[in-house]
Formats: sequence, C-alpha cells, structure tokens
Amino acid sequence: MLTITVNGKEYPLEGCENLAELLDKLSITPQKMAVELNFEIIPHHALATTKIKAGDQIEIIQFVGGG
Amino acid sequence: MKKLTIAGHTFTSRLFIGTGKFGSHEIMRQAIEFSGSQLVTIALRRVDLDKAPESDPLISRLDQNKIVIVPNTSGARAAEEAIRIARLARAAGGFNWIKLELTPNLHHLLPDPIETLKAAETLVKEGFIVMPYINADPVLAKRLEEVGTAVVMPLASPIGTNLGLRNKDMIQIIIENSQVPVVVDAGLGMPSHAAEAIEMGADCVLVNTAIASAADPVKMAGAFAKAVIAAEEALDAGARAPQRTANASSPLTGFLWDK
Repeated sequence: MLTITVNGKEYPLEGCENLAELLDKLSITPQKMAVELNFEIIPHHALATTKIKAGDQIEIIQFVGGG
Repeated sequence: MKKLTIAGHTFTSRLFIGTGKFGSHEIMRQAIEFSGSQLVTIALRRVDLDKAPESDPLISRLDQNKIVIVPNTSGARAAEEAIRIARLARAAGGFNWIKLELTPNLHHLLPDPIETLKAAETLVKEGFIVMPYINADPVLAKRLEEVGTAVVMPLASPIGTNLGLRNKDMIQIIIENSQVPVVVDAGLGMPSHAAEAIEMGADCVLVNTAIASAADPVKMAGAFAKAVIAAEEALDAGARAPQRTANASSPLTGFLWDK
C-alpha cells in the first residue's frame, strides 16, 4: 500500500492527489493552520494545486495555548 | 511612566499573558479581558488527527483588534527548529511577532543562549518582531539588542516555578543598559513578584502559570494587573530610594526627648 506520513503517522495515500483533498479526507479546515510538505510551507492558495505522492511527509500545525 | 512602545505598537497595560494551561478557552478569554492585557503568547503544535477537529479553536477567542498575538517557539531546541516554527506561525496566522523560546533541557527549561542569538539574527532579517526569552545575562541581552530584537525577556526564575525574582541583580543590570524594552518573563508566581519587577524598572512582565493554574484564573489575572498598575503608579509618584539609617516619621521633638 502506498502511504504518506502525516503528523508523524502513516496514512494511505489512496484517493488523495493533492493537499486540499488530503485535508478534506481528514476533515480539516486549514484556516489558521499551516501545512508543510517535506519541510516546505505550502500557502493556503496552493493546497489544491500541490500534488502529493507516496513517501511524502506532511505536517499540519495549529495554534494552541502557550506561554 | 513613559508609554510602552514595542515595534511601533503602544501598550497601556504592562502585563502580558501566556495562554497555556487554562482550564478552558473561555476562562482564558475572560482572564485576558479582565486583566486588560494587550499582548498574549500562543504556541504551535501538530493537529491531533485522532481527535475530532476543534470546533472552537483557541485563536478564535483572541480579539486581534485589541490584543497583539505573539506565537512562541516552545519545543524548539535548536535555532533551525525555532526558525521553522516562526515561519509556520507566519504562514498559519499571518503573525509577524515571535517569542523565541529555545529550551534544550526539559528539567530546567532554561533557554539556550547561542541558539537563541542565531535564530534571532535570521528572524530579524526576515522581518519578524523578535522577543527573545533569555536567562538574565546582560551581555547576551546586549548582543540580542544589537541584532535587532524588539525587546529582551530575561527570566525571573525557571518556567512554571512561581519562585519569583531570583535573578534580580542581573535583571537590574539588563534594565540599566537596555535600549529596548525589558520584559521580565517566567517564574513570577505572585502579584508582588510582578510589582517588584516593574518597581525595578522593567517595562513589562509576562505571566502564564501563576494566572492559568490558579483556582480562579480570572481573579488572579486581575490581581496581577492591579499589582502592575500599583508599581507603575508608585514610580510615577516618585518613590524614594531606601536608606540604611532610620528617619523618624513622627516628630521626635516637642515632648519626652526635650530637656
């Protein structure tokens, strides 16, 4: 099975061609979040046009409380 | 006291608040509002994909028209990690302010001075308004100021300890020499600690644990706010320096001491 790593965990790549589709599948609205593909920040407007492939490392980061 | 301005932004409240450890977003919101604080810190973490997406994210509770939001780089141990977090924060929320927090050791959470300076240099060049959390080292504070940080943030005592001002003498030297505002951060456990920092001449204080982990965080936020205002007013009132010998408040003449 072809997989990608999202936030440190393996996920099947199946059914996702780009980052927007992946976020949709994960039920994530990327507002006020940052998405990194292989250590490169992908701006929100480019999520739908950024293709993903097996082995990619994706980080989805949000704001939490902190001092 | 002179108005507090950081990176062109004027603050009427000298109390900054960290948003960690609050029991709920609503309690956090109330505590910030009640304190009148105009700058808060937040952190960045991975979205937990095993949990349902948050319907009420923390960030939505912070009114950006009233409050400057400063993401921190907590969790970073090296300059490149802190730089990565700063860029992510900018991409996620458009935030240009960054609190540099580089703590390689989980036992004491003291900041790495070398990595902090390295990260500060890069982030200043990238246009960030950099607020570095540092040990109370006057030489380091000066070096950071020279690379263009907006403030310096010496720690009172280790994060979350409530120990108060344990670095007083070094913080005093930083205050006396700094050309940028001095924010005393970390370890302030009681309103009196915050007041003491302001009385010493610090421009502001940053408090998180003492407020967020109090039984009544809203009340504690108010208590810190009052202490900070009391200290400011004392300075405005022209406090007199301490002296070693007594100076009678009641007249000593006119009765028993007269021959």
